Amino acid sequence: MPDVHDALLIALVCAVCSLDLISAFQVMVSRPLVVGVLLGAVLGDPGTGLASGMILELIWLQQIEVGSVVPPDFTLGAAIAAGGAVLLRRWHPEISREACVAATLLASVPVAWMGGVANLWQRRRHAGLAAWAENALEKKGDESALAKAVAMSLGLTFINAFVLAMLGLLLVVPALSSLMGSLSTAVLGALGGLYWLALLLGFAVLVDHFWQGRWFRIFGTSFVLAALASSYAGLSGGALLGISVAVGIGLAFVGLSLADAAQEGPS
Amino acid sequence: MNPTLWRMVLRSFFIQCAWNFERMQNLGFAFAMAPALKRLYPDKERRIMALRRHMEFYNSHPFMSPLILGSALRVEEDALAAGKEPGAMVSSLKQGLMGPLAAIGDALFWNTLRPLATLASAALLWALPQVQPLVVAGLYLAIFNLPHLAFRILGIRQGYALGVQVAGFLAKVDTQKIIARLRIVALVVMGAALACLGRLKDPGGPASLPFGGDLGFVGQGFVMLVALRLKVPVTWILAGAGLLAFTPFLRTL
Repeated sequence: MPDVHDALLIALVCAVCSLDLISAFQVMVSRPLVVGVLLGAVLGDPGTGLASGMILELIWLQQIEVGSVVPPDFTLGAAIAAGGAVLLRRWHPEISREACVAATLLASVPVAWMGGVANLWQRRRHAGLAAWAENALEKKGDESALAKAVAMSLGLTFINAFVLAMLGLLLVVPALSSLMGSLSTAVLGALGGLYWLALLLGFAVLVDHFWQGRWFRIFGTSFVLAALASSYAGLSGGALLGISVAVGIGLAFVGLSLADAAQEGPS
Repeated sequence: MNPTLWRMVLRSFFIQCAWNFERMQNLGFAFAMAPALKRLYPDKERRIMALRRHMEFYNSHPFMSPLILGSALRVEEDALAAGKEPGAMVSSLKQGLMGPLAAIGDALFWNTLRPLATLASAALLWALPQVQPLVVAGLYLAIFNLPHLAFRILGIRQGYALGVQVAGFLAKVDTQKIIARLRIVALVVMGAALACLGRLKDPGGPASLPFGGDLGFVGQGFVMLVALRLKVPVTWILAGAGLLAFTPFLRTL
């Protein structure tokens, strides 16, 4: 069972970050990567939080709230996955970080879907809130009704996320912990393998997102050159990254401008 | 920038509040306009009428809304100065701008800048596995929020300066070119990131995957990519990856 202090802390972080997802700011502190790192930091294991948040960030990359689309609640999912992974690591130090992250990742998917349903419910309640504010404005001349409706929306989001996070933590994480304690080494090893496959899936989502016809040869060339530079020239990861950023910016801004100029022809 | 515009920018952070299926961001827009309307209409009855007018249907990208707020305020001011009723003019300006600006915002922020921030953070983590997690999250937030905040602040200024001319200004901004350039940077960095990911061969890492090894690792990623291109839902592929991960265990049964 999670310590009450830990459970409250996780639910509080989840509720504050959910404000960014549903109601206000949109500065992306609701994204799984940030939620994972924040939860890892407050629970004392930012590395596990980052490992968990990064996978979810990549997997849910294409899930965005546009117009009337209400995707799964990835903030809630990330809170359960990252918070749960840190707690599992603490309770079962003999189990690898990868296995803990993979187990909570699987458990977080249905929780995120349920969170999406709750968000849909909340948005339906918002129609009543907007109607109430308009009514107060029209009938009572209450100019503060708009501010009150905004405050109520924030409150509703906070309470909704807090309650769901507490429920998720108290129902999912203890069950997962007792299950993990009874698993054989082979199954735990398979969970560790799943972590890497999930990371690879996340990368595939990223590639799929940036897929763009003929320009894709740029990605292929960059990969081959980077792999060769890494294997034969022994370039470090930091050097590879620095060079790729510089080449990318040069190609995008100088190369594309030259191509445009060539296409326009002499004036 | 005058204090009213600053107050409107701050309130624009709450434009998604009370988003609803009937009139979407109507309440958020009226809430953001309220400080300006307070200055424009000293008479309470007229002010309430104006606030109710702004409770009409409205939906756009949250980061582009300050541009619309600024130009709506300018049109409202100009109409009042000319002794006209601003209602119809402001309404048609909002209706005309919100769709195209939503499309630009979605393409620029949701489809390009946010994935680019994710890619940069992932590349940093895979290239330098010992990096502090807070640095990774900080990089993500910085890449996304520097342009985001600039768009909000400069947007309201530009909208207020141009008023109804904002549409002409938007026609000159080539967002497609900006997006194309950002995507080229992303493609180059993504190639290096994949090479870095392949290097992470710690115990339990890619080398020990089912059908492991470097080629196996790239091959599995390629199969996942093909599935994604065929529009297979990511949760199904995750379930498939689970089955694949458990194959060595299942063989022992």
